[in-house]
Amino acid sequence: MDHMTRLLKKILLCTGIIIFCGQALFAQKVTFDTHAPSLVAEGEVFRIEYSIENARPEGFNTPVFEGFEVIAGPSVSEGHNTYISGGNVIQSSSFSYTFVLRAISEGKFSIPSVTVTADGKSYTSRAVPIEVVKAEAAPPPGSQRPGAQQGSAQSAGQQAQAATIANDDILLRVSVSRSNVYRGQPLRVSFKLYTRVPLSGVENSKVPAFNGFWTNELDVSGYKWQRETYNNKIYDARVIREFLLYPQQAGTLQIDPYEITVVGQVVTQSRRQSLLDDFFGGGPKIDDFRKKTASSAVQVTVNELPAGAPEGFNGAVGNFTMTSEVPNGVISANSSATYSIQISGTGNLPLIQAPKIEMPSSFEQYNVKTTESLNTSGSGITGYRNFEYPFIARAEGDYTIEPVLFSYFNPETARYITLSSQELHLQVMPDSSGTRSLAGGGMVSGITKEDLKILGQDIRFIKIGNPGLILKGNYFITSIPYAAALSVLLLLAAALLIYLQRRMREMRNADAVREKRANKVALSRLRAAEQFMKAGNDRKFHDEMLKALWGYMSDKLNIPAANLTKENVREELMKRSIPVEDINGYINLISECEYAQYSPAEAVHIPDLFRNAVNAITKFESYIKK
Amino acid sequence: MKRLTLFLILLSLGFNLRAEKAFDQVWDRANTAYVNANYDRAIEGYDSIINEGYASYKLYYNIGNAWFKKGEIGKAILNYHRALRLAPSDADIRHNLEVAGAYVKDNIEVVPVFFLKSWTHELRTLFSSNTWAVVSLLMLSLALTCILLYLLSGRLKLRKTGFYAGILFVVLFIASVGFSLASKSETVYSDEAVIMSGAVPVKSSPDNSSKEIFILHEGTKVRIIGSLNQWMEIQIADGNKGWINENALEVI
Repeated sequence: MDHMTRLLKKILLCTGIIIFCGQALFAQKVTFDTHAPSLVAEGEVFRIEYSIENARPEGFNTPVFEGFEVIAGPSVSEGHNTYISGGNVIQSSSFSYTFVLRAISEGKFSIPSVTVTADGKSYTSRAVPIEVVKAEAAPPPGSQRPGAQQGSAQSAGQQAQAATIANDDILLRVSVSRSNVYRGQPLRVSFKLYTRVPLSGVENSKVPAFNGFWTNELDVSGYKWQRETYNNKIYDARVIREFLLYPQQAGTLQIDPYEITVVGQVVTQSRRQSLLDDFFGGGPKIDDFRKKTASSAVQVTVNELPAGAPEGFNGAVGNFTMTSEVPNGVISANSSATYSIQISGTGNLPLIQAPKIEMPSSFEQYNVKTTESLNTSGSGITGYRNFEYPFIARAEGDYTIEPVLFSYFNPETARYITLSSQELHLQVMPDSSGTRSLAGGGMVSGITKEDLKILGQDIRFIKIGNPGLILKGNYFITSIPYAAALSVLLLLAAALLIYLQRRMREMRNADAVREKRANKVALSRLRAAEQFMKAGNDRKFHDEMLKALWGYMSDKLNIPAANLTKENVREELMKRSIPVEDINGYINLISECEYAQYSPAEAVHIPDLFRNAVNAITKFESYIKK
Repeated sequence: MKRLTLFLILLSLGFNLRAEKAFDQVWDRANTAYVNANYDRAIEGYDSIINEGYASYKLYYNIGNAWFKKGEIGKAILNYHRALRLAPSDADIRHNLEVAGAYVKDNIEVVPVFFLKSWTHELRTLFSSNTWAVVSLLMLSLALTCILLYLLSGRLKLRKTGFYAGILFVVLFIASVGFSLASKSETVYSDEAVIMSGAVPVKSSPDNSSKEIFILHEGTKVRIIGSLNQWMEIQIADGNKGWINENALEVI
């Protein structure tokens, strides 16, 4: 073996020199590592390996393995690999030193680190902790690493021996990351397969329904077969299914058992030891067997979210941030714009709904477009969800769009948090294309009148200013002031009536007195004429009448006797707005007297004339007096 | 005469001026509390004025608003009705009463009233009792003027006009006095009440064990037609009658 590898090495070296002489070789990264199982049983024989990649070590100091007995080693193996990638020649090589050890005693030990020098540099491998458990816990000698699917399994033992399958040789265990969560808070459920026999596969896996949960399966390709102790026995274990569960209802929820059928392999020794059997492949025989196994049911307590959720809380649980992207401050009418909101973080992101945006009513809103980028990991779903709100502003003006609020529940701090975007001020400019079409095509684009929209009903504001307080139960109609006002009004009316009546009577009396006085004046002026009338001297009577009539007017109107004419008198009297018939009557009276003076033959009824004159003067006395 | 009427009106307003001085600050503070959405303090302030025995339609209106903002629909409606008694034609009160009424669960079909009755009622609720009283004084003044005209005028035409107008104004005077007195008695001997409890069973007789006829909810207006001990016989707008515990309602 040893000289075989040395020979191989020589051949490779020679071909390498011959083929790639003079060509640049790409140096690969140098690593120095320790490969060792983490768990072994007392007395178990196992293998460890120090391997250095891409460097040739200059010598190797065998370390001291405390707690272990070195059975063989170090055996050195060497491998080279050369390939061309993208025009570059890439060469890699590996050196490994392998030891076969036996665990002597129970306890925790360490595979010591080793320092080697290669190409003038020194590299140190890491120390690997290793646990040695009691001998009973050791896997049955017949077991093998059930790593057929993985291809990277290390073999724990090579001996073949007939074996039966014990009940606890294959186990399926379930584990939850949290058993007490809030509604909407994710928990991870892992189903781990434990085995002490080699396995060839899994059949009929029946995944539980996960009632009451929203489920998201996780990728398990990152898990590898590992040795673990359980119930003081060493198993090879690996997570085979893993789910992220989001509880959708509060209460105690049960995760039902996960049932699988495992296909395992047992090595059986042929019982009959005849030569023929040996010849026809008697020896150890490998048989498949099937075993049903199921995980146990698990109870999870889901707490309802605490009270006091802010308005607009929509069931988001986790830890989020919100960014908003808004259109420029100025847009033109009838052009579209987009308001976008991005919510990123960890939590039940796929269940988050678009936050509500209150747009002015003259904005036409369209369906919200949602894009998302989500990464599922054991702790929850991480990523972002982007909401785009397309809208068209139909009317110009200055608008304010209220901040968008997004509330979520943080299960770590058990508190509600409300994020708020900034308030957006938007100026909508007149639509330039709209006016152009109006001027060019001569067509009036449809002008639609809008009815007054009642957006919400609320009570009107309180009344302020003078409260106008009055004493309760104090009514004017039955109060003393009202009665007083009523009686005052009645008394006032009565008093007014009496006063006015008396005043009117007095006025009537004054008229009578004045008439009496005027009559007196007329009679005194006509006294001479009266005496001639009684004496029967007609001629003298008419003379005296004319003298009295002219004299009266001369005195009353302040016109000298020389200037007295009928026209003068008429004019003056008209000025004093005396009724025309009265004026004419007076003038006629004078004319009659003149006529009678010069033609006595005409019989004039003298007493009538006299009475007329008295009446006329009396009338004028009352007129001109005023 | 005109000067005298003015003097009388001022005399009646004299009460207001005195009362206003004392409660100006309380009123302003309560209004400020309302503006700052501190409705409890606002109500406290308004109530302190009420407890001093004063009232005004603005006061009741503001109390109603404060209760409404606190979500107490029954109390809001009660106070709006009280405000409406003092200012029957105020549009704000009617609007708020309508808004608050939308929150009342009971939807009762109103039995139509004889049209003359409803017209009279509408005419009467144009003004408050006090306004009708002032109107009556005005009518009386006009009537007396017309009577004087009839008695003293020398001309037949004026005498005729004075006679007929005098009769008209006397009738109007009597009517306005009647309206004022009716409005007053409506408030003083109020037979209307508002349900205050969330849901109240209406019983067939004044007895806890009697049968429930129907259920009324907060904010519904009822008419009280009788009482016995702590039980009130009520009638709702559709004519249904029943007995209700007096604690469940408050008289407007």
